[in-house]
Amino acid sequence: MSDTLERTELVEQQQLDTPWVTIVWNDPVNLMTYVSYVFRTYFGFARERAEELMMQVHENGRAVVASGAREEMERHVEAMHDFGLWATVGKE
Amino acid sequence: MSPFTAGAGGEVRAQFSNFESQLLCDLAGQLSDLLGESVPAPDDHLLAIVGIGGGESLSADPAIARLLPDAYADDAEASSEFRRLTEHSLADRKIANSRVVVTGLLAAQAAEFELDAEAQQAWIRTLTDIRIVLAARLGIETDDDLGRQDSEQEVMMRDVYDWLAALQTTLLDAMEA
Repeated sequence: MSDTLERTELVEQQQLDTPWVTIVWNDPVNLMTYVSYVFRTYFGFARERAEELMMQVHENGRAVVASGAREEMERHVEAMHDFGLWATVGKE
Repeated sequence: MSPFTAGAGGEVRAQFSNFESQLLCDLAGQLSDLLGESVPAPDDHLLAIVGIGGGESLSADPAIARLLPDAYADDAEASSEFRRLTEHSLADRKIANSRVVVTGLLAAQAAEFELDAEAQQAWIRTLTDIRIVLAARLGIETDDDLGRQDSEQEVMMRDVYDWLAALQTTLLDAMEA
C-alpha cells in the first residue's frame, strides 16, 4: 500500500518536474522576418534571441519558445494561431 | 512606391490602387467566408455569446486545418477538448481582422488612409492568413516549393502569394520604423 502511494507520488513529482512547452513548427508560408517579429513582440525576446529561435524553427523544423504551466502554454499556442504561426503544446 | 509608409506617431499610412484594393477586398472576403462556413456558431446561445465553441477535430480542408490547427501534436483528445473551447473565438478573431482590412479599403476609395496599432495587427495577420489559404490551395508544402503551376489560375495565385509576401514585408518595415 505504502509502496504504491510512494510510487504514485513519484510519478506525480516527475510530471511536475517536466514542464509543459510551447513549440513553434516550421511552415513554408511565414516569412522569417515575420516569425522573428512575433517572437519579439509577443514573447518580448531581444532581437538576437528572437532571430536565434526563428533560425531554429527554420533549420530544425521546430523550436521550444516557452515553458511553464499547461494553461499558460495553451494561451501562447492560441496566440500563435492568432498570428498564423503553427504551434502546439507539448512536453519536452 | 511602397503601399505602406511609417507615419510620425507610430501610425502606418497605406495606399492602394483601385485594382489592388479590389483584389485585397476579394481575398479578405473569401477568407472570412471560408472561416465562417467552416466554423458554424455554437448551438448553445449562451456559449456563443461568451465565444466558447468549436468542432471536434481538425478540418479535412488543408487551408482550414492550417488556420485552425490542432493545439497538441500527439494528443488527439487534448486537441479536441481545446478545439471545442477555443476554435470558434479564434475563427471569429480572424474574421474580425479581415473585416478591418475590407472596411479600411472600402472607406479609403484608393486614397491614402491610416492604420493605427490595432489595424496594423489586423492587417499583418490577415495578410498571413490569406497566404496560408493560397499556399494550401497551391499545395505548397516545403520552403522552396513553388506549388502547382499547371493552370493560368495557379500561376496567377502564385503571383498574388508573392505580392502578399512583399506587402507584408513593407508593412512590417513601416510598423517597426
